[in-house]
Amino acid sequence: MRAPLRCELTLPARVTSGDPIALTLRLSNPGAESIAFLGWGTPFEGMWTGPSIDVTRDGAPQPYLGPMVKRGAPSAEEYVVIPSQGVVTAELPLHEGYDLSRPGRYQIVPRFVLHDVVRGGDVRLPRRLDAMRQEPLRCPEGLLEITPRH
Amino acid sequence: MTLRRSAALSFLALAALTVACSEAPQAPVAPEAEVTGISEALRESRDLVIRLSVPAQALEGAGPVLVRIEATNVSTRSVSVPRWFLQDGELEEALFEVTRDGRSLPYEGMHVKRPAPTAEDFLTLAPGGTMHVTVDLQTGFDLSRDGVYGIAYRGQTGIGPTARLVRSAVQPLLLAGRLPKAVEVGEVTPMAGTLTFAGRCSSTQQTQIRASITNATTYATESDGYLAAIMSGTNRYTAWFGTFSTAAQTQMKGQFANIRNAFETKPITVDCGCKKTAYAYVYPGQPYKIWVCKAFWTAPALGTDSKAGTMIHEMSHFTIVAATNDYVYGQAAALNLAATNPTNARKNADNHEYFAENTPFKN
Ligand SMILES: [Zn+2]
Repeated sequence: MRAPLRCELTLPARVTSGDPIALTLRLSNPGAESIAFLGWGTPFEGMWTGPSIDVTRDGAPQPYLGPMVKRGAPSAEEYVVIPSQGVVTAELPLHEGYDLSRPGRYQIVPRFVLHDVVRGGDVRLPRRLDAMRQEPLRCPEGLLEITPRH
Repeated sequence: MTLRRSAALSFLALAALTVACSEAPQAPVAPEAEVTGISEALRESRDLVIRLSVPAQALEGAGPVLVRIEATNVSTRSVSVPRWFLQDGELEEALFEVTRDGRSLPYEGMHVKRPAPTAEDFLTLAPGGTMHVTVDLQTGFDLSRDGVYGIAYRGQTGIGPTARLVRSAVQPLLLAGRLPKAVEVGEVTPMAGTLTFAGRCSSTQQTQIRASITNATTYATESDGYLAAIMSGTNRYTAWFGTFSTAAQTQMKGQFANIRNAFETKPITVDCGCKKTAYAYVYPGQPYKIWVCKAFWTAPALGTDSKAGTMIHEMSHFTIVAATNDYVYGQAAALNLAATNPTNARKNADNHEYFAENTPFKN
């Protein structure tokens, strides 16, 4: 069985409406081989490129407000490499992808899918679009309370 | 004006990057989220003061909107700034917060993915030092409409844990006589909808976009008719949308009718300002604006991953059209999705595109 990536999600527990909200993803590779993954659709791209998170406010789904991108062939620079035992982190402003202006209890459920995952150093990057191996990235859910601004 | 590089800074940059970047044997790790995006939680800098100025309080006519950024180090120590926060010419980051008539405008310019910064990526301002740059605000924001604009600078000093937010006061600016950047030439086309260009499309690009919309309209019409006519799962249907059922057919017929209707009757804006390697992108909640990027220009007019097919893909994303997702990209993955998860295939933009392109041909 291959060692999966370990994912930690960090969010502020409570913020005032209108204040920025940073979502941080920390991925560690507990395995013995290096892991390279395509950053598409994850905070490692440095911007929102799709609805990779389910956000609900008091149970009601909140629409995704960011862009959706049709991809060309990937380039090597779009891969993130985590050496064996290594760690990478990335941060994105959650409020740039979803409307978080209204007070309430928000549930943040990550649905990240890694569009290509390469284990070990023998594969030449990038892979062709039709040779890519997709894997879900399992990350913990987060809770966020947004309080009214007085 | 002082533009000296600080040796201490390379150490600073390295320290900040150790978190994101252990040894990377194959490809450089992309720590751009930490490097370029301004973390919203940053404390404000008291060391650097930014003043904005414009050629006049009111500007008449189209053309560039030049904003001069003057940065002064009012502290008693050197201050370092990633150079892309103080750079002449075209915007490479969302360096401004811009409002028009009180409503904030999204940043539409480049968003550069950067490798790990080195000492050369920083400018250093000595105590009391001042420097200035001039940028064209049009390269990052849609200034095609007349109105009262408010412009505020938003950059940072340092990087990583020592980074600080730098803001300026809001500079008001009145823009008048600014036409929409280009409007469709009044040719006779099968479309009743209008096509507008943004982001400085060249005349060659405008011709190609016009053809792609016409071809996409043809694709949508053919697909819509095909879906209405079939009585069972044809090769073409099941390849892209999986197991046939009447309910699924009705869903797909409805989605393609919406796509066709949008191409035929809605005001579409195509923006050429995107410099990404991608084909195109849209904001699903903002119909019918489509940004086309580098891969679009080298795509064939028709067939697999063509210009016309890209338009089908993007149009399907809009929430009020077909609300599709990007579960997978590419033909191989799309075929596999249809075989393994028809529900998602019927909501995947590339499956819509490949069905419409029908290349290689399936009956
Ligand atoms: Zn898409």
